Amino acid sequence: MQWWCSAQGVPWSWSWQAYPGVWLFIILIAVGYSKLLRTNPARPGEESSRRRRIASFVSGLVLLWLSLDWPIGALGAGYLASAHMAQFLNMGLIVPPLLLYGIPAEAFTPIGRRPALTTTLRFLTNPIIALVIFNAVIIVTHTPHVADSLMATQLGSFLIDLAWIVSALIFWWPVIAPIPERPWMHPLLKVGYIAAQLILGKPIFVYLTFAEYPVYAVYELAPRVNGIAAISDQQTAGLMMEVVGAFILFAATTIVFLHWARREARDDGKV
Amino acid sequence: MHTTGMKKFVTLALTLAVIAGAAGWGCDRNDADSAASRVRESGFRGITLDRPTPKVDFTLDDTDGRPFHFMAETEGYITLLFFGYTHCPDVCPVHMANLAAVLKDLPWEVRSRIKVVFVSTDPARDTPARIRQWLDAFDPSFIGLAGTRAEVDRIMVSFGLPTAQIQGGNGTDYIVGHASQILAFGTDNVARLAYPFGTRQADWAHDLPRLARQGPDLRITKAVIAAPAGGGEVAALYLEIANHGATDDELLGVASSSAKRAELHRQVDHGGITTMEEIESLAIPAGGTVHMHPGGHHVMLLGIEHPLNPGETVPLELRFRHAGTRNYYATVVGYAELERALESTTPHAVHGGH
Repeated sequence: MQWWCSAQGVPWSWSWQAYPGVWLFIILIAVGYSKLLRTNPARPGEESSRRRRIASFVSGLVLLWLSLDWPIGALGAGYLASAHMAQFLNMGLIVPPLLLYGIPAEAFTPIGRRPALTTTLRFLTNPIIALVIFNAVIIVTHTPHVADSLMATQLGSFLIDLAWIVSALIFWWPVIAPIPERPWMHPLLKVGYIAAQLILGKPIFVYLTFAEYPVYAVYELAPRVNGIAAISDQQTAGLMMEVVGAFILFAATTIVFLHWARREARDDGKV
Repeated sequence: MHTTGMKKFVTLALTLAVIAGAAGWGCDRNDADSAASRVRESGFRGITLDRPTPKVDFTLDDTDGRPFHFMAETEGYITLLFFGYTHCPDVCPVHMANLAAVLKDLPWEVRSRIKVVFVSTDPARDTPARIRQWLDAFDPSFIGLAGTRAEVDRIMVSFGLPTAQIQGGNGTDYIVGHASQILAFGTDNVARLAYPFGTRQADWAHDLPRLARQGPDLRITKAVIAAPAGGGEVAALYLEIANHGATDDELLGVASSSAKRAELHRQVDHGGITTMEEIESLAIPAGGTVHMHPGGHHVMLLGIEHPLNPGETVPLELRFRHAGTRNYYATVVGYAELERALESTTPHAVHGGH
């Protein structure tokens, strides 16, 4: 029985495998969220907004579960760099904003009562610091020595996934700004912030796409899945990071910009 | 209270990260260190064998059903020998795929000096057609051999490898335990390196060109035929062969589709009488160049069937003891031009592939 997806070195099989650690992880988040909702009921007139937030959080949680569980989780942990990249794109760029948006603003009120936590959070979610943390995690977890070593064990694989989720939550915090009283950045700065990530992601794309040989032993020495060559798989992963990652980030900048433009128009009484 | 709890959580997370990271880093760095140590000691990333293993002369059927004489047909080549089976779920396909991926990107002069020989350890299921189909998925030039279990076991033992073992399963559903290393034989017919499972493409790319450079590195810089006067049936061929490698070699023979046979000759002086005598081979020392010329060593082309005219090219097949067979083209020149052609620095040979 495996608790978390990690590299096994055995031939890939499309037979379903159970990963109870993943289920437990998802269930714990779901239980925590439901407790948050119970302790912070929707105020009168905010039911529609609350439903939107719940839908967002549930979508994020379902996507997170799909990324971590069989088959994507298992393929990404030990067989295909492209599946690993799909996990990263999902857990790093799609799931966190959905989760953050899904948390009701009132749920953050207790944080304000704890100065140490507020200071820590303010430091970590400073846009410059957040960019540094997110990209440091991306670079470290994509370093061959680290990835090959950690993905060979369930704990190591879990730590990579956890590092992605936590650092991505930090990265997206200044954009989503879940605490309305503290709008961290002007929307146009948010657009610039997201665009900066487009540029900062380039080194990994170049590294994976243009390497002469496979860089990760875990994928190069894994039994092949459907005959996909290790180098083609790695190049696909690099291109996914560039194309799909850019698309997601571009979509995010568009949403931020339109949201801001609509609010501006509304404030000007044009809508 | 909450701050304490937060501190505990952060401490626990950091501890876990450090433990996992340290364990992983340690393991991987050991591998990297041992690889680096191997490179420092031998110049290769492959594992140096405790005892160099000479080639064993065995014959098995290839995938066309023809007998393949291992010793003779790999003579002069870097030979990578692997014992595996086509139903292998992990080691064999990964090894073959990684090797093939690197071979296809090697320069032709390196790639053409390497032969990959796969011997099936699963005679019951590996038919010649299946072996061929399986190898073609990696590289159609890979040579596939099959024999009886007893034959293959005997060959494996003679190379110092454990025999293959059938493990588990029923009927035709079983796995075969077998040695996972690829033995690398140099052009001197001795394996000093083995490549276990886990050899990366970057390792192959590092070692294969070095292995290929170890043997004789022959270059034909001139190949000139003096046109026989009056359309005669005998002509002299003069070669200039440079050996840029680290190993001596010998020219064993020459063949051409334009002549019935060819002989290596030298001119000797017996008390003022100059005669020609046939020799069995001509040494080509490492780092040296052999210049054939009138009055010295040359190749006699005998039984020329069609008149050779100046300006024509004639295909040649040169057979070397270590470098194997090389194909070239020689240029026919008139006697008047012979001396100038042999002195010229312009090669009078056209590389014709192998």
